[in-house]
Order: sequence, then structure tokens, then C-alpha cells
Amino acid sequence: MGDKDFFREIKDIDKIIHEPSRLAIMAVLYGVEEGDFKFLLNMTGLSKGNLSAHVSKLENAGYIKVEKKFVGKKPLTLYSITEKGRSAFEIYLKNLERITSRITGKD
Amino acid sequence: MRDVKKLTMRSRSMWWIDGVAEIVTGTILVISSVIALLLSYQSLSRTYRSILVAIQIGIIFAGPYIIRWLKAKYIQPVTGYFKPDTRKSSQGKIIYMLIFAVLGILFAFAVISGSIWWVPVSLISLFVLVFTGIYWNVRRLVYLGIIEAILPPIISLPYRGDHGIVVSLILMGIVILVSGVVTYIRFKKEFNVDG
Repeated sequence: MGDKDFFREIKDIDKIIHEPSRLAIMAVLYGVEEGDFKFLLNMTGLSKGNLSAHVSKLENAGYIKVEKKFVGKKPLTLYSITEKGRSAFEIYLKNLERITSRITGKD
Repeated sequence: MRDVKKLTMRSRSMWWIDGVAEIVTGTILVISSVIALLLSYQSLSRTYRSILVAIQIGIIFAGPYIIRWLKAKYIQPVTGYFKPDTRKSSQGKIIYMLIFAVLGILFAFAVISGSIWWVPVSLISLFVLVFTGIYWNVRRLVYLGIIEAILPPIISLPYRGDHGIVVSLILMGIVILVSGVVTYIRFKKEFNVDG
């Protein structure tokens, strides 16, 4: 891979996922079918405001789905990763791995 | 990068973090084994025998519902609600279905023949626990599978036939139960749960 391609690869990395808080949300939702707000709070350690803002950005990008459901008699807002989000996350991880291995010379 | 993968793995294995599944499974195994022991007594009347078989089948089928109920009542108010990802691998689902099919057939034969000494329980439990541990990324279950395959059969060696297997099953249930209780205590500490 030439330097130009390498820089293009860095430039093309998914900026929506690349933000650390959003990356954490995507990593958590990748491991479950769905989870509520409290679950995401617990897993990511983000504040409520921060989590809300980042979840909205991911939802707008079509990477996660927000659904209002009843679990038993309790109303819950559930978050799940979409197919688009799943493949974007996998591509992001692959790209990041390629970039880091190129930088550290482990490719 | 490693942290991202770790977070995904933790999220994937969250369902096992509280030990509830082991507590319920261990309890069911102990109760079922005691029932099997009672069923081995020939003097037991037909009516009692039918009642015991019905109880045994009942608690086995109730197991998953009890786990879900306990989690909804005591665990999810602490961790938040989530549903484990069961879509991950169709191969995993096939293996689980095969395990349950084999268990079902063995159970049916054991009930029909009135004898269970020939059922390779430690091998089954080794396979189920190791596979579940790898599938859900829960190392504790892999170790538990190995302990289950070695310890209870050795301790129950002095007992022969059906009684030997029942003692082995009771011990297996207790080991799973203890593992569940220890995990639950650790869960309570990690999440600062009172009471």
C-alpha cells in the first residue's frame, strides 16, 4: 500500500463511529440483541446527557434503531444495532486494525 | 482496539454476570436427582411415581421462566434491561438443539427403563458447559465443565449403579449452585447492590 492510499484510508475512516463515546456504544450494542438506556449507561460509563446526544447521532446515521416497547408492563426505550451499523462497525474495526498494524509495522 | 473488543465481549457475556442461571440450574439438578433417587425405590406406588415424574418434567420446563423472572425482578433493575444476542451463530443454535435433543432422548429412555446408571452425565455436562462457556465467552463455565467432569464422578465412585449416578448428579448440582452463589456475591459487590 502506497503512502497516498494509506492517508486516504485514514481520512476515510468512519468518523461517526470513531468518536470514543459512540465507539463504546456501538461496541456494547454489537454484543447484544437490544438494551435499554440504563444498560448503555452502565456499560459505557457515560453521563445521561452525553449518552443521549451520541445515541441520537448514531440513530440519525442509521447505525442504531430506537424502539419504544413494553417489557412485561414496563414501557422501555430499547436500542439495537442495525444491519447497516453492524457492517459499518465491522468495516471500521478492520480498517483501524490495518492502520494500526501499518503504523506499528506488524502487517 | 483491544478495549473495544473487550467491551463487546463483556456486553456479550453480561447475561451470565449474576450467576442466576447457575443457581437455578444447580437447584433444579439437585431436586431432579433427589426425585430420581426416590424413583429408584421399587416400593413406591404408581401414583407417587407419576406425581414425581410430573414434578420433574415441570421444574425442568419451568427453569428458563424462573431464570427470566428472577432476572427481571432482581438483576435488571440494577444492570438495565438487555436481551442477549442469540442471532450470532446458526451453528451454535444447531449444536444447542442437538444437545437438548440428545438430553431429551436420554431422559425419555431413563424414565422408560427406570434406570439411569448408563447415562454419561459427566461427559454431557462437560460438553454443555464448555460449549456454553466458549459460545458466550464465559471462562468460568469452561472451568466448571472440567470440574464437573472429574470431581463428582470420583466422589461418587463408592456408590454403584443408579445410586452412584444420582450421587454424582447431586454433587454436580451443588457445584453449579455454589459457582452461581459465588458469582452472585461478586456481582453484588461489583454493582454495589444492598441486601
